Amino acid sequence: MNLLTSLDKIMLPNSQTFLIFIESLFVIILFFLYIRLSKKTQRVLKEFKEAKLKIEKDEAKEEAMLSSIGDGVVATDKDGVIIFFNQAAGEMLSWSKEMMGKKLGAISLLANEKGDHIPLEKHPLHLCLTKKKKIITSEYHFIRKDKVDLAVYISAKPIILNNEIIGAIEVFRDITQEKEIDKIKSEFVFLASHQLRTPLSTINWYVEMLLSGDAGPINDSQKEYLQEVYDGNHRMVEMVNDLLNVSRLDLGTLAVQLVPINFSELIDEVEKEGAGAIEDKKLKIEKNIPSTLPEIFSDIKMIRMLLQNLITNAIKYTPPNGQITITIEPSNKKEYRLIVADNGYGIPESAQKKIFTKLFRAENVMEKEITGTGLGLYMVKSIVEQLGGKIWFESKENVGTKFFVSFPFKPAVKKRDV
Amino acid sequence: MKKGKTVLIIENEVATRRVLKDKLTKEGLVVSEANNGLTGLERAQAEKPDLIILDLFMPKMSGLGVLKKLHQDSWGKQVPIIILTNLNEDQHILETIKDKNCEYLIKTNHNLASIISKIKSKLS
Repeated sequence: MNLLTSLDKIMLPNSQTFLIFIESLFVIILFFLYIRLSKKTQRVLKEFKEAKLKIEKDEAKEEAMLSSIGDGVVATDKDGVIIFFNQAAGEMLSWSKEMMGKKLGAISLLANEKGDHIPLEKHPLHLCLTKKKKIITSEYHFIRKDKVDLAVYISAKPIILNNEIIGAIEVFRDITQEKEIDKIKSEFVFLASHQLRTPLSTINWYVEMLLSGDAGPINDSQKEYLQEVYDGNHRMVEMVNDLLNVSRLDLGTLAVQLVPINFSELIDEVEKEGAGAIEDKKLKIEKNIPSTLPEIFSDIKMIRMLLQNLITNAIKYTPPNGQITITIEPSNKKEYRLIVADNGYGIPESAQKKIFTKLFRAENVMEKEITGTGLGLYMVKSIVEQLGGKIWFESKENVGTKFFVSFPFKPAVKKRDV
Repeated sequence: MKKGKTVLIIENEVATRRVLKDKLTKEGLVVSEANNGLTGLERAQAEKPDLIILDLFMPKMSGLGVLKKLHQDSWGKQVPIIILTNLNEDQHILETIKDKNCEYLIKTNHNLASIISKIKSKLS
């Protein structure tokens, strides 16, 4: 008991000290925790501020980037309501901020290259939202409120988030300047072609006078040499004509005149132009043109150019004793089809993708030293497209080539001024 | 075709004019010349040739100008004209020559023989 009492006496002051110690320790821990938490809070706050600043900076950067894009950019929600447009779009279309929230289709008037109005359901943005795919247009025109006509290329793409279309983005490029340059280029080619033709016609006629003996007799060797000059000059004429035609087709300045065409007669005329080569190479020409084929309403100059190129190619690229078959058949009630087939050198597989490209020539015919400008099929494709038709081919090297052209009976071509 | 028919060549290029004149004369035609549109018009109205060969790109008066002026009187309306040029017919040219007594030939696309045969068929 004494011992206990004495212990108690001993413990009491000690337990108080202990409690004070615990309390102090607790306060110290709390203090440290506070310091720590406070530091953490400060760090979180700092990080938060930094993140906010970064977001603001990123947003400003994105906005600056979008503003700096030279092309017009318009974003809409899934209903086609404008949620954003950049500075370039605003300037090009003469839009104010009030356009935000409006339906793009309702405020943008579109026309195609020929000036035909594009209905709302065919607007690129509408198409990309309904078809759920990227739409790229050929030359389109925005008709602004102030009636200013703006030539553009448009691409529209849906914005997809978690497999769901949440809107669309339309980007358009002002091509006014490019068109102007194209025009200057074509006008240059047009005048240059005229100037180039003048000395060519002079050479042509003077050599013809010499060859025909109108300027006195010439010997056989002189005749041979003059014939080379005459033929070379003729090739030059063809090249200048091709260049001129390409520039006119590119610019769309071929004066289109729709007349009823008798294909059978026209094919005979074109065949006659190549009669010399057909005879030299002993080529067999077969024609399958139904006698009931009606006259077809189209542009005779373009159709003649098309036939000349396809038939001349068949003659040029078919070896002696070969066969060329020209067929015309109605493919359905609205279309007819022209087929020019040969059993000639063919187009190598590697060249098939490029065959309609300007100035391209396949290696197999270049190796055979067959002359050509590489403009013929480019022109043919351009003509077919201008007349609202389609062209395709089947070809195998050293077996032959078959060109198919399909045309509507009454091609919808708008008359354009030069 | 009777010999001695008259042809007026309105053409500013001297080399072209000469070769045409030589060939036509060899074919028995009587040829007169003018080296610009204005002189050509005056000569046409004074000489009243049986046929006119007309260039388009010319000083003083263009071929289209000559054509329009010629069409102001009854003789000018019926005289056969061969437009012989190196310009392609564009919409403007087509509209001007429409319904007029003329044929449009591109120089480089025709040899002298074919031009002569066109002239002969127009004169016969």
